[in-house]
Amino acid sequence: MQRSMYHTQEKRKIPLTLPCKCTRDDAWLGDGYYFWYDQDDADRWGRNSKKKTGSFEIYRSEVDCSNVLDTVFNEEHYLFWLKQIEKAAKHIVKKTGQKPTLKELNDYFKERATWHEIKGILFQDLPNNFNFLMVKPIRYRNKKRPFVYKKRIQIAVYNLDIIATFALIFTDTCKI
Amino acid sequence: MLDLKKLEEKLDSALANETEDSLAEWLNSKRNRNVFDSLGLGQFESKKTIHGQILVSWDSYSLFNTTENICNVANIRFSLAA
Repeated sequence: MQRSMYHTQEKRKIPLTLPCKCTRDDAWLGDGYYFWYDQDDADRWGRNSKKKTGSFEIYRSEVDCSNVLDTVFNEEHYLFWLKQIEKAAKHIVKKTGQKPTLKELNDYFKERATWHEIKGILFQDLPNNFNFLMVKPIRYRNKKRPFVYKKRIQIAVYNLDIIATFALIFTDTCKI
Repeated sequence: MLDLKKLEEKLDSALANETEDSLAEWLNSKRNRNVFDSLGLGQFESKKTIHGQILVSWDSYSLFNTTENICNVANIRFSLAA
């Protein structure tokens, strides 16, 4: 199955020919090439977080998701992933007394459990900005709670072989 | 198509072979790597030390008149790049 997905970067003098690998410590699913499922999320990420050069770019790719662990739309994959995350985390805590991060767990899967068959993970993360929601927050006892009815979905791609195309589709300026 | 059963077997086998030491060592190596990554690549460059007089006006002096503020001031970097 192929999906169109979106990669956001700072605007450069020369457009990219391949996506940039994310190696940040806070990259949820470890080192990889991150794409958004929804172009609106790619756009928001560019405006708010890719400010180094004052402008951002969005690239579109066709991603082959045949060997991707789909924790968003595939129930079997989601339940499998949840079980493995909790099992491994429990084991690491028991042996070391330290809680691993999600990035460390995913590194463990790739390096120690040799999960090389998995070419990427589709996952849903938590938005920290609710302005894009079209539904009014729920008000209860003077507290407002937004209901995030729209999933914010990303894919962490570990192997570039599953990316069929990569093309610049949009450029704009960041939010000041 | 992913073989989830095979993936689970590989994970179970990896976890079963871990000792307290092997896991702690792996986790620490990950965390140490992250610390060194944050420093980036390159060499440290020495900076010239510039001796001079620091003038403190009454306005700024008033900010330093408690022990807590003096402690905070100690955390400010006064080094100047050459």
